[in-house]
Amino acid sequence: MKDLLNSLKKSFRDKEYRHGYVDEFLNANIATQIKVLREQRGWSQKELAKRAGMLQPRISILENVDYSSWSISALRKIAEAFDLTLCVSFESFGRRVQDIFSLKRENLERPSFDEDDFFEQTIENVEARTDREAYQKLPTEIASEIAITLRSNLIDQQNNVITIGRANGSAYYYDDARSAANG
Amino acid sequence: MIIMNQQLKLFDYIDDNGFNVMQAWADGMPMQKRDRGRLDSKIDLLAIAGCLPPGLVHPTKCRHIMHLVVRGEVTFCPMFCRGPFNNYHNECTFLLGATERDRKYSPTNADREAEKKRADLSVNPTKRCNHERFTKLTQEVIP
Repeated sequence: MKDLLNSLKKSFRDKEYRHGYVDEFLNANIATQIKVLREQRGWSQKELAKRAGMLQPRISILENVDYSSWSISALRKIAEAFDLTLCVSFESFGRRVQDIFSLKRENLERPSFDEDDFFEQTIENVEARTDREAYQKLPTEIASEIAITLRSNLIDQQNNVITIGRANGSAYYYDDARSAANG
Repeated sequence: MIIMNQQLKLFDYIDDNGFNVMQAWADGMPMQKRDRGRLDSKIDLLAIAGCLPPGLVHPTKCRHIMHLVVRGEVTFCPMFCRGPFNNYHNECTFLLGATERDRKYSPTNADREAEKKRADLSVNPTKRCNHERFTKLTQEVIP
């Protein structure tokens, strides 16, 4: 994984290459998340199609990594069927690389509104959780690599957690135990 | 089919002359930098997420041979098999690079050719190396 990260750091310096790379990943990420969310809810493609006002073959097409003609309106329908909100944003390549390394079923699952515990928490808890989750999604060695890169803003915090730095609006944490384990 | 959501270790088949067949294939194709990025992206997906991404792995008529699909001006189909040694669920070996047009492979019978290489590899375990990315040309032009 560390080799892959280093390779991406080098090859992403080429604009054509990095855009080709992330285009392909974006298609795969959307298709994979639709499938994961559907399976999380125990729905068939037919059930999702019914809830989204589409036909089952359309869902089958959307759940394919080779599909690339996404429309915001179709994704909105899917989001509403899952009782989720669609989030479309422009991201830096650094942030996208983090998404690549954290592509796992559990990282793609989302609770519907009724199962979302966000509204039960205090503002302080929400802020802390959001930052920590950004870090926890990453494999340890990748988080470690990013932490080393961002070591400049070292600030001690409570709960044996150290904030290493902030970039692209996200925070990265690096605790003492992981530090020792990774040398 | 591979049933997993885990990281895979990838290898490339080496021919009788000691050449990495996947690198030789990529270097011999009219492959733009963007295509190389697409190709590496799909292969990284396989390594990172296995078969979690739906439609990532395509079966062929040969039972042990599968391929990825990278669409562009040309459709690239790198062919691979699981294992083929003991680490059947944790390893994949790329055997042959092919393209596809009108549902026909080039080279013709690419899946059967890949199957032959798999059989050859099964009795010559040293004829593979760690998978090399397709970024070679990309990196060469960077000062």
